[in-house]
Amino acid sequence: MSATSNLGPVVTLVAAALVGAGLLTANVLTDPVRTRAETPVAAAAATATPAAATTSTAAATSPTTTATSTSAAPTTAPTAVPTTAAYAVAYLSPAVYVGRDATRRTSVAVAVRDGRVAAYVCDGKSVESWLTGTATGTTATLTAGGDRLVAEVAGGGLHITGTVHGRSVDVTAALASAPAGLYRLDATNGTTVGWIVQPDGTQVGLRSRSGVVAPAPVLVPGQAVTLDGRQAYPQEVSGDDRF
Amino acid sequence: MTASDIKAPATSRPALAILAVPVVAGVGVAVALGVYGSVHEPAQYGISIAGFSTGAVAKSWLTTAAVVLAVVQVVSGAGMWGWFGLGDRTWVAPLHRWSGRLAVLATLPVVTHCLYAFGFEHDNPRVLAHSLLGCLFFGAFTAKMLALRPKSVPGWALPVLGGLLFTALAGLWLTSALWYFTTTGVLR
Repeated sequence: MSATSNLGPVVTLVAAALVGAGLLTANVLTDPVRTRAETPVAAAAATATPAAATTSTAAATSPTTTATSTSAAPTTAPTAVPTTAAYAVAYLSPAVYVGRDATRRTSVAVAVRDGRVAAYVCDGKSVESWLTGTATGTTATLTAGGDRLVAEVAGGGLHITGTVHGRSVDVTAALASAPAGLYRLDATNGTTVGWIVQPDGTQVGLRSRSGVVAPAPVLVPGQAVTLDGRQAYPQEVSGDDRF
Repeated sequence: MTASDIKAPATSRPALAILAVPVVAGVGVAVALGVYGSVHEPAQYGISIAGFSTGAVAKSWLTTAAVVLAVVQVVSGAGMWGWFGLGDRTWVAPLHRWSGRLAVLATLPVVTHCLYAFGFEHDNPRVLAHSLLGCLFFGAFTAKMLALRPKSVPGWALPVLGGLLFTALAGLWLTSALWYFTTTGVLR
């Protein structure tokens, strides 16, 4: 064996390290949060408290704004987007957090997108509520009538506390990926149906019309449900949905 | 232990010392990945990989491809040590090298996404095991590559490191891709 061929493994190792470093750099460079974290608001918030530093903050700007402006006028460089509010990265990209309380009685799902949040609380029997709100820093506040929830970034998820229909809510919700998540159906007859699908596949749901609540049909994500004799497709709820 | 084993130190000590550099480097890489994964704040973002519906699907299939290549690794690696009557086949060594390179290449987008988007986590046993195995895998890979270079490494070193690599990768697949396929489904 010559010395040159013996270098093969080292070359392989270096090449792997370079490709890995390149991929990591590509992640950092294209991360919408990183690029926005350079704005003064976010930078100040990130250094202000250790708590903020662990979650990172980002200015509430929509990536689609830049995309639209560049596609409309490709020769124009995208202008600096004004920073309006800073919120934790947990509320940035379209995502849904799902959880239930220790007694498995009440389920909560929180959809987030660009600092806007929409949540559904449901016990599958009688209590259900749709709430909406916005995020500031690591906290999101959601309301609907007399119902109120506060979500706080905790670890990789959200800790949600509050009161819904006089019942106290205390749920830790984790980031969920489809088919787990939050689904809603607004039927033409005024009936609204909500489903929360947990990561383990279990689901709770209720249908409601003029305050009258009844069990929801079984949801198979991606498939139509039959409601009052009609087929309809439940939609995944987005954080910027308003009810 | 036989008498000849006990007399061995005179020759095996320098051979073991040769392993110091690969082992220290491997441990260093494993610890560095773990530390980065722990202190780096999870971005929950990753570049997309073309052709897959979601990042999790892409990662699951890339890891599966790496495991398939790793099986080729075990067979061809054993072949290089005379198993399966492959000892005198000239294509075995290139097959081993290139299937290994492709396997590691397949894991790189996965590990960079894991590290950047999620980091080292310990929320439940599966995630903890996966985090530890991920660090172990790339540490073992570093040690294996560096142990190939010196000519007088102990005869057991490469099979042990190779076996460690395969075991770590199999564990990584079981705690990620298999988990994803069985919980979310294969065809998504």
